[in-house]
Amino acid sequence: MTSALLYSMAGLALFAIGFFGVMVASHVMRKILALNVMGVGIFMFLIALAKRNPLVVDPLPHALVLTGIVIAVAGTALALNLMLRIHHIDQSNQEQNK
Amino acid sequence: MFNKLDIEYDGPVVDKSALSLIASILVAGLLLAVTITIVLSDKGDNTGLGPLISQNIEFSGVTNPVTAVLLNFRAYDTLLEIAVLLVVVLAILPTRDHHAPFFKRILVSKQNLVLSALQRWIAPAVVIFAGYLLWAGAHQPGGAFQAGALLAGASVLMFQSDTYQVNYTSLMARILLVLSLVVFITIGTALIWFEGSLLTYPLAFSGLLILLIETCATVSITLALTSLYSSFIANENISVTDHKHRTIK
Repeated sequence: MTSALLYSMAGLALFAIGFFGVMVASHVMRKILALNVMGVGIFMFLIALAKRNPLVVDPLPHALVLTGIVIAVAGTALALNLMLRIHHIDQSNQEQNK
Repeated sequence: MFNKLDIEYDGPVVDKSALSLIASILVAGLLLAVTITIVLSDKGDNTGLGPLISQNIEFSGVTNPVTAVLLNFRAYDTLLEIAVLLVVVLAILPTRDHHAPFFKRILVSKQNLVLSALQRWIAPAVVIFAGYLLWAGAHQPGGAFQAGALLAGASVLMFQSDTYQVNYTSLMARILLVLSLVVFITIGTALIWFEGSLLTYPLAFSGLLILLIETCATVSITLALTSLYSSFIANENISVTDHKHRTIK
């Protein structure tokens, strides 16, 4: 019980740090990174709660997290691409206005 | 983070980061209370779905419970996950020339010695290790996603050394990108014919079918991840067009 509680609380701490980052960060890149920290916190929480019973490990959350990691990577890549695109358009608009 | 002391200032104090900090602490406290309740209320009799999975593992065709969940009991999740990965790749692939060859070796006069040596030594080992991971996924931690991520890492190393270039919009790349989804859907729907329901493997062939799906998934995931990586580099050369389709840059 204790290790599950400890790790799930650490996951929650990561989630809260990421949450704070998403709200405070002004740059989009930092927001994306903070969202990723939030996601990692949730993964850690799920993995920790998979071993609530010290004798039995529940493989279902493990599979869920494995799926979630790939989706998180895909979502981050999409967000970063949109960010780069916005940056390029901003830059070229600034150059035009000069 | 907080407002600086200003003796002259007489207005209301509004600090966005202070408010955010308070909100984060509140959210964390709430979640903490819920977690402690969940964990402490568990008297040890709640074993989750572990026993159910280990009882049915002999019908799944593999012996690793995580792989059994991913590719058999919850195969829908993996199918949709591969679909999501493909959708993201399609969304960010810029419209590049698709007549260029799939794989091109660039002759560069000045090579980075460290990178090229690293690539020569590590890339073959990584390919072997990825094959092992793929095979080991049936009975221990491993599988298509781990193997795909490893191969993608090796590909990134190869692109860093600037000797290879892959065209992700060529016909070959398109076929390889959709390969796993096509195979997965084909097998899944073909099983309606044989077994009566979607993605229900026949007992005798389940291990073989899972290995086939995972092999195709490894290829597609590798290509998808490397194309995601290369999109950040290739973005430098994209010309931006405005709403009248004029090239700005």
